[in-house]
Amino acid sequence: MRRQIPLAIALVAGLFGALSYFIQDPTVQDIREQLLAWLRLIGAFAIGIGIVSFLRNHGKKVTRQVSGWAFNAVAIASFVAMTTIGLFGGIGDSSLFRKMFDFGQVPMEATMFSLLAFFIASAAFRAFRARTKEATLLLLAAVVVMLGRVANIDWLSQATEWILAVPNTAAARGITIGVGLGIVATALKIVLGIERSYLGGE
Amino acid sequence: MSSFFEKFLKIDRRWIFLAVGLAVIIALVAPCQMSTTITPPVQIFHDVVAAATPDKPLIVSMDVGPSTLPELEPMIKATLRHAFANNIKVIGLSLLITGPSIGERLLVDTAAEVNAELEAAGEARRIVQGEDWVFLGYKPGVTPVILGMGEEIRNTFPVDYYGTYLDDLPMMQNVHNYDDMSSVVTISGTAIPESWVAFAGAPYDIPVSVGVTAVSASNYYTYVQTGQMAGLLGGLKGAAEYERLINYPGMASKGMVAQFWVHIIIVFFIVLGNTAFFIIRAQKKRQTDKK
Repeated sequence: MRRQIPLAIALVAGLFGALSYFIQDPTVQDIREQLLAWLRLIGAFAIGIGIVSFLRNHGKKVTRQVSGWAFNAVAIASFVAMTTIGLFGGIGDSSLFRKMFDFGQVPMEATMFSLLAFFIASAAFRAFRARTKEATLLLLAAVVVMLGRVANIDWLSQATEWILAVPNTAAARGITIGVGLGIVATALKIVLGIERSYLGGE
Repeated sequence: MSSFFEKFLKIDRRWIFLAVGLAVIIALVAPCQMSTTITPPVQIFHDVVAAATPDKPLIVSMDVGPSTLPELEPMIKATLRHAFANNIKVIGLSLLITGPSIGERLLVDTAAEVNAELEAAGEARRIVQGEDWVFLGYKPGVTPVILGMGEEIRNTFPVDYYGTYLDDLPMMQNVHNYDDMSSVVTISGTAIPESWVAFAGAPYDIPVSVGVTAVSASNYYTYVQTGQMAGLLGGLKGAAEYERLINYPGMASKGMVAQFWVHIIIVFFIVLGNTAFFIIRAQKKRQTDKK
């Protein structure tokens, strides 16, 4: 019974979700809207689960004092500080929360991302070698795209657009269609009760 | 000679860091800008925003975090400026938890900038919050939020970011779902644009224009070709092209100079590295043949 009820809910909700897209009856659409509202609530609960998971994982590392546990402690302290400041001091324009976000998190995240430019330059120099035909093709495409994205030269810009719009798109479309079919297959398996790993175990 | 190239291939990477760092600093400090060639995806993006009418607001979904701001902020600013300059109303929101304060800042700052320009030009028109733009803030759960807005926006966002009921905002009086909106602009460093295409563009037939980081732009060309995405801004280059189209040389146009020199440096090092690699390989082959 513990398995049958969730499986039945998945079957009914899955079939209804798919079919209601095609049935324009007002009653069906009203129920669909209700289900969407529930979905939003479930989405909000996911944040709660995320917080619990975050605190458990980092807390475990701090209590066991594993290598680098100080960073985990900083993560927990930052979470507690931001939550407390936000809850009691508000999140308005002139609030401390907003200042900590604008002058703390924003520059720190931007710094992390900007370091990529340096590491990409170094990695490209060391790893980008025309050792094989395939590597040479990749290298040439990369050089054309890198130059075509910045140089104001018509033919180079057109060559870049062609690489992005033709060979790149051909590969990307294959992957996208493959992923799409995979999603449909997995969804069908869940709705029909073939895939049950979300229930735990099996 | 061989040892010279071998030493060169083992060059301390800090020299490369220094070259990149200097190129970025000099390019950003120097008073120069670059012109860019307009590509079709950016032209489509521009035309879709320009086609919006004052009675149907534009949704600008600012699904951004601080890490991608250097690339995405110029896109958001250019889109907002384009809309405000053409009297197009804007509904701002964010589907990413880090987005609301960034989105609100950009809306407030851009509206203030445009107002200052209108004042300087002697025009009486002003960009007013609630009349020309609203900011809905953040709601968790991407898919249900997008789908919910297709039925009735008030069910998903009963109040705006400042706690005002949507019914009390003059701009929102006749706006209920995607039928009452001109198009969606989603700017993000995540996969959220795909959700906008799947859950707003496809079922509700509203054009979805997309702005993304350069690294993820290549994934979205398929959607542009099929018409599922109404235009694409890819990275700083896309933002610079858009700035050029709306005649506003902003942060992206400036940043393109730095990007130009960094790309040149990377290509220079790749070419040098490969030259050294082939010379060393040829010398080793010659030595082996002699033996």
